[in-house]
Amino acid sequence: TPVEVRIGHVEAPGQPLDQVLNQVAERVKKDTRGEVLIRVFPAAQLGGSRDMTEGVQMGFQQGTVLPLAFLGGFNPLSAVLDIPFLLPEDDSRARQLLAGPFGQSLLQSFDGKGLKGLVFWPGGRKNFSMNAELDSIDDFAGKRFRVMDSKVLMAQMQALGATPVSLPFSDVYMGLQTGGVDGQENPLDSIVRMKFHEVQRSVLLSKHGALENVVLFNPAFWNGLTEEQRQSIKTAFVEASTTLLTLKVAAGEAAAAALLAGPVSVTQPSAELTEALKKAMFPASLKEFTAMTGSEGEQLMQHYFEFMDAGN
Amino acid sequence: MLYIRSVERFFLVFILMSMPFLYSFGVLAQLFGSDLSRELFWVDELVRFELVLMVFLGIGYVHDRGAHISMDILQGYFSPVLQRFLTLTINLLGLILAAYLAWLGWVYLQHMIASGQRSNSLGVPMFYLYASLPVGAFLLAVRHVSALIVTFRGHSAQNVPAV
Amino acid sequence: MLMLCVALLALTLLLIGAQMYIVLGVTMLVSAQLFFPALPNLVVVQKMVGGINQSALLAIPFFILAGEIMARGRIAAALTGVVQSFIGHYRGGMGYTTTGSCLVFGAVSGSAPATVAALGKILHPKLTAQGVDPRFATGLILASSELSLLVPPSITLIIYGWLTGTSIADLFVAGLAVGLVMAAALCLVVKIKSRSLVSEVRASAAVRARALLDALLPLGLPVIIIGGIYSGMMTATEAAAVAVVYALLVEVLLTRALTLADVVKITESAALITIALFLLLAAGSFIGYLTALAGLPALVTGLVSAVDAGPLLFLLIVNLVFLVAGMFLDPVTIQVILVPVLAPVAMLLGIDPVHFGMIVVMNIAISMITPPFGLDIFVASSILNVRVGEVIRSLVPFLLMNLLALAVVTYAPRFI
Ligand code: NA
Ligand code: NA
Repeated sequence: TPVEVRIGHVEAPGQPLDQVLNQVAERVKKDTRGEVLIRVFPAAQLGGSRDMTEGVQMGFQQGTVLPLAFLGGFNPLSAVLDIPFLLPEDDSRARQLLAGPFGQSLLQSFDGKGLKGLVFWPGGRKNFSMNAELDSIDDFAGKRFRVMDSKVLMAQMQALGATPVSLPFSDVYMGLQTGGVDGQENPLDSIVRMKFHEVQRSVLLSKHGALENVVLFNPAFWNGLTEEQRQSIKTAFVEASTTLLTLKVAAGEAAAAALLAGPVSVTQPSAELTEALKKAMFPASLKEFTAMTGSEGEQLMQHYFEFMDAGN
Repeated sequence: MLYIRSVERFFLVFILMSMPFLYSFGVLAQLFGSDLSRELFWVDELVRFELVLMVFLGIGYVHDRGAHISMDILQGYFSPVLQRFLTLTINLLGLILAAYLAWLGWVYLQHMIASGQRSNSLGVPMFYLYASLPVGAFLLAVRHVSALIVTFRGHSAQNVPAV
Repeated sequence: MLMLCVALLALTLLLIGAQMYIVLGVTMLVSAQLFFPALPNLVVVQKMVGGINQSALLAIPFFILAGEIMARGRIAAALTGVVQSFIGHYRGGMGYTTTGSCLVFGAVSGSAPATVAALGKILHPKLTAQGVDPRFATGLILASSELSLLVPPSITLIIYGWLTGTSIADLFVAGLAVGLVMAAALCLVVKIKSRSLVSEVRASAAVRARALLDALLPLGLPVIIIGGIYSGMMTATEAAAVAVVYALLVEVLLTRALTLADVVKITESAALITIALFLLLAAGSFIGYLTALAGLPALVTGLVSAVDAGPLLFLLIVNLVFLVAGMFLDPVTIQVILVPVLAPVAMLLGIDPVHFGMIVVMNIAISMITPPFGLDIFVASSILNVRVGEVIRSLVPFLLMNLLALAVVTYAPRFI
């Protein structure tokens, strides 16, 4: 009898991540001659991110694909990708970083947490939007910015002189509309899909942060597969990462075009502004991250700096 | 039994009363002082945990007060003998359910302790939260046992609606 | 076949008067065992605990507590007094007062049965004293109390938002709009019915001023709740928490309507209601999980596309399903069982989640006054000391009006 693999994620059906996951399911079915059947559950049908991660640990479901930003409670090291300007701007270099020692040791850090980390999947680059003009670093001062519930992201906003506000994703539109928060950060396609641009005046194409997903499996389930099945699944997921990147980039470009056609002012930051943002945000968030994770975090960052130094 | 009941009552009132005050404190801090609010981002999580603890630890007490939701409109039409049989059946099922949940909760608790999972904001071990279900289900099971004993002795079940 | 047996088991447990947690708990464990034998049973624990460990649900205990404090203290009465002093003198003014008071009280209490219980005894004698047919009076009180489910803050709307991930604030805006339109429709019915009635003396400016002065502190509450949320200063949950603290401040320290011993009693009773409700929500989160595993949303989607049902036909089916379920189940159970199945299909058909929420909540509101098992019917029967059959007869014209309103809310947005 075939092995049923339940994989859940939190994105809406038909979104790039959901599309690619369904392609992976097709491919794995074919490559294993029907031995492994992946069932994809979108839209948090199996539970929110915490429930699903716990579900993978306990074997209620076999796998999940989730933003690392949600996994801090399970593995503090996953907050590393919240650090702004951490990933190289060039996408292929970013994938190299994640495929190299830095990414591998981050994946391995899940081993001790009852989770098997397989590969990273791209989730897009974050940009700032605000209810006033946003084209210099001083524009952030005194503003209230919605960020995900993460200390590293809070530190990033404070470094810019803004106040971080953590608000559920579903309440962000209302928060921006009523002025409860002034701005937010998200990939362009999310901004357009959630219609945030309707209630914002400007978007800064800062690409300062990255949303990165990780593919997690239940270790007992993973070890129970044959070597051949593991190889098929791994290949399918690794190669799908490239497809997903293409789809995400296209979605981002389509969203940018939609924004440019509308009344929102879209600003491409100057090299100086990007440099100034990086100089303010990166060290503050890094400091918060190492304060949270101690020597483990420092070791991980060592891999990071080795890779970055080698590239220059 | 009376002793447990007053402990439960005190606990529920204390928890529920503390929740809005803690939460409002967090709100006022956000509105009036941005520095303090950064220190208070854990309030939401703490109050959520309080709610979960209150719900599961309180299910036994709620049973005592007859406040669990049920549809008892047909009961007036049952004969006393049938009613007594039904009360026995219901409490037996309730006992099996509560005991089973207590056991499942106990097993799950061991897993949570072993996994060392911590909460996002407070950083406290998550197993504290999960301990509430086995304890609460046990307290509920005790209620079903005592209802069974009362019914066996021939008194009709005393479920006086409190609300 | 097995499915039918499980449904029969649930129905039997329900009818013999087992507590709802036993009905849901036994049914879901049996279903898990029968249909998903490979699924570890421990998942029940995670779904129950994780299911209610959610920020979106926090507003519920706060609003329950705030409602209990206001109903037992002076705030609710003061707010009702303002309504009466301003509109009580029109022909059939007590009718308008009934609808207005239920709207205001229901807004803060959020519970239809609580509104019937708290206001029914006060309003019914006043209505009949003004010459209103007692049967019409009963129906009017019940129909007006339903509005509490729509007018924010509404626990029913919060639960819908939790189940579907829809913004609670957006739902509140829509709920307020629909609730006000429904109230206007009720007032129209009153106007038609009360042509033959005598009118009361118009309250003097002094009386009105007195009523307003009495309600000066209580009026702070709607300001905090509605103003706090719509100005963006607070989320719904934050406004709810502040409302509790404010209500306590007014009732205990400023007007001294409540003693500390009263507060303990009130808190205990709010805790009882909260726990009973959340136990069902915890069970519901496991039911939602099982429906997802069973692929029920996909199955319904398949059926809808197989019979080529567009949004219109789908919504008609939704209304029928809710009305039938509402005849037998309580409002929370209906939502936790049906919404996870139907909402994804609605989204796929391009129905706006907020619009769908209005349809769901209106259906639930109607189900509270639909025989055979309408919770409010029994509350009214015991509070007003009227036979159940008499209450049901009183509801007929209002049920028809409600169904009409439901049809408008369901279909009008698609043609505008
Ligand atoms: Na309400
Ligand atoms: Na009903």
